Amino acid sequence: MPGQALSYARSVARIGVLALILGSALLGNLANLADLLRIAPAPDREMVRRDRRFETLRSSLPDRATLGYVTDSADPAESRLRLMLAQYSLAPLLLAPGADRALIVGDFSQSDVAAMGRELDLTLVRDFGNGVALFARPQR
Amino acid sequence: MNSGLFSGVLIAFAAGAAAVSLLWPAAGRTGAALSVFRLALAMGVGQGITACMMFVFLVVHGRVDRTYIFFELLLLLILLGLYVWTRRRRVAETARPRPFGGSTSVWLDGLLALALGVAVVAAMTSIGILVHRIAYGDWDAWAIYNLRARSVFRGGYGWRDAFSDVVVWSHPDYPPLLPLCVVRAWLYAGGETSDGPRAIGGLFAVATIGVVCAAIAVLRGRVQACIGGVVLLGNTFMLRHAASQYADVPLMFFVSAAIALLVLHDEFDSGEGAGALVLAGLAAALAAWTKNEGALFLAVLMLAHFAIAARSRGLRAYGRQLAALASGALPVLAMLIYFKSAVAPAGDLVTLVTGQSAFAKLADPARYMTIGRELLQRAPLYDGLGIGIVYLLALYGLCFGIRTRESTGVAQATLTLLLLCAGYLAVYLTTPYDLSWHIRTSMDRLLVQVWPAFVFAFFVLVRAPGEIPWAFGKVPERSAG
Repeated sequence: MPGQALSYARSVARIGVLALILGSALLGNLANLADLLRIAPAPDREMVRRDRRFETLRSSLPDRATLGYVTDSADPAESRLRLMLAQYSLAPLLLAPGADRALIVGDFSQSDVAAMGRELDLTLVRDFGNGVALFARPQR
Repeated sequence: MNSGLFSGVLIAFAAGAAAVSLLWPAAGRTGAALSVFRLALAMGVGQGITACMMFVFLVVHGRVDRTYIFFELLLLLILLGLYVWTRRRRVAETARPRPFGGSTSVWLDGLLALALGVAVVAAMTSIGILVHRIAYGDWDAWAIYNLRARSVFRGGYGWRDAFSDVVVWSHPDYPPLLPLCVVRAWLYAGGETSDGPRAIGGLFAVATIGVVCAAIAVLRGRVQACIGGVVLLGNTFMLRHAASQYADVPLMFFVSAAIALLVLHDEFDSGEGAGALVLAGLAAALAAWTKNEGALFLAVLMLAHFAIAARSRGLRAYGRQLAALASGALPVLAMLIYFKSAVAPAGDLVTLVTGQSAFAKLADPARYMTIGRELLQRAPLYDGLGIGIVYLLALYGLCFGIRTRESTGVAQATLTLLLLCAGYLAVYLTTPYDLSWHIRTSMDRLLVQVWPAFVFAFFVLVRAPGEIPWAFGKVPERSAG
């Protein structure tokens, strides 16, 4: 009978759609897991490395201060990234980009921080090694 | 996870469970699904309540220290004491959910349960792997939320510097629920451990899955919950984002919890028991305490509630319901207002938009085209395999049909989600940033915020397999109730 055939067709369609949606969702889920199991990246030590790089500087400063921040990166995006990473390591100290503050953190990719300070007309207070330094703005 | 951190998680859960039981007492045996819902709710609400307590402690005491733990334990004892004292009061019978029948056959039940089991194991394993690998979270995690947590945790009496506009790029105006959860975790753990934020992110992800699946099971039965659960976990972006340590994860919990509670209240609570509404108000306010989008969610939820409840129940009943919603929301809202006015600087979107022509942008058709194009690309959740889930859901809805007699709760939930999406559209249209950049860096996350609530509303609205006649067997009879 036509009514029965229509009902049968509807039921088959519903089962098909149910199977399709469950299959698609499961496929995505399992493929995501397989992808994660296939790739095994090295542990992320970058933050730990950055924290260690700034640790001595942080411990030699008071708990609350707003410092300037300078870097030797020419790329604005990289400079901004380095500022953000330095801020994360040096929290709760605040870093304001530029050399307008009395004390300025230098974050350089090279170790001759004194030379960098001379270029920027800043007085070196202390070299913490690994391209990290504390400068003072010269009194005018 | 060290024992201190584990204790902190347990205490937050206990606080959440006490609050849920106090505000929404259950009448006798509640059944497995409702019990799971209440437990999952307690997991997330507990974190929210203790984050609020941390903020109050900071404002009153002036700094974070281990005195907070004593303060929190004291408040927990008070909550538990209240719970024991009020336990004997009579509870309206309508707090018990109506039993819902509707499985087509044992083999389909078993198959769907197996599918859900496989989906849950795969999803939890994926989340676990990523949580382990991404120790410090994705970009915004260390640049915004964990930075804020560090600044508060290390800042002593200078904790307010964490919200200074010197670090305007880290959005110091963002509500502080997630950073405060992390601060609290570190306090219990005895130091800054990457386990803290990882545990919190994982907890909210698991709680979201529990809330959505359990709520569907309560309202539409086990079979529908299994289907909804598999679909929910088919969003691979959500699974990956669960380990990001972003505030989108707690936000999606509070959005789905508030929506589910609205619907549950309408289905089961009588006029006497408005506990689910109080919790819905609390969850919505905690969403606002989590991200600025949460404030939009709270506003549209109240609007949708007014639009539907006032019309269907009358103003008097609406007034009673509004009082219940407000009683849950107001304490957190008061804190948020204090935070925004006395602690945080103005938001960058607000600051920049007021200086530019929002109306000109609203009238620019090119912006609508850009947003529409990106939405068509991202919303179907096509990740290169199979077919986009959203397209399949549309087909599923067509094949199974919509329940025609629906509670006002479901209508409120649907309207809330629509208004929320409209709000997001308005933000994109008027954004002061480059539109393509703004969409590229945020749309996927906005979609994932509403995904669990959308799945919940969809599977409550669409007929369950047991509700329709099948050609292969008898229409199953519903259980009495």
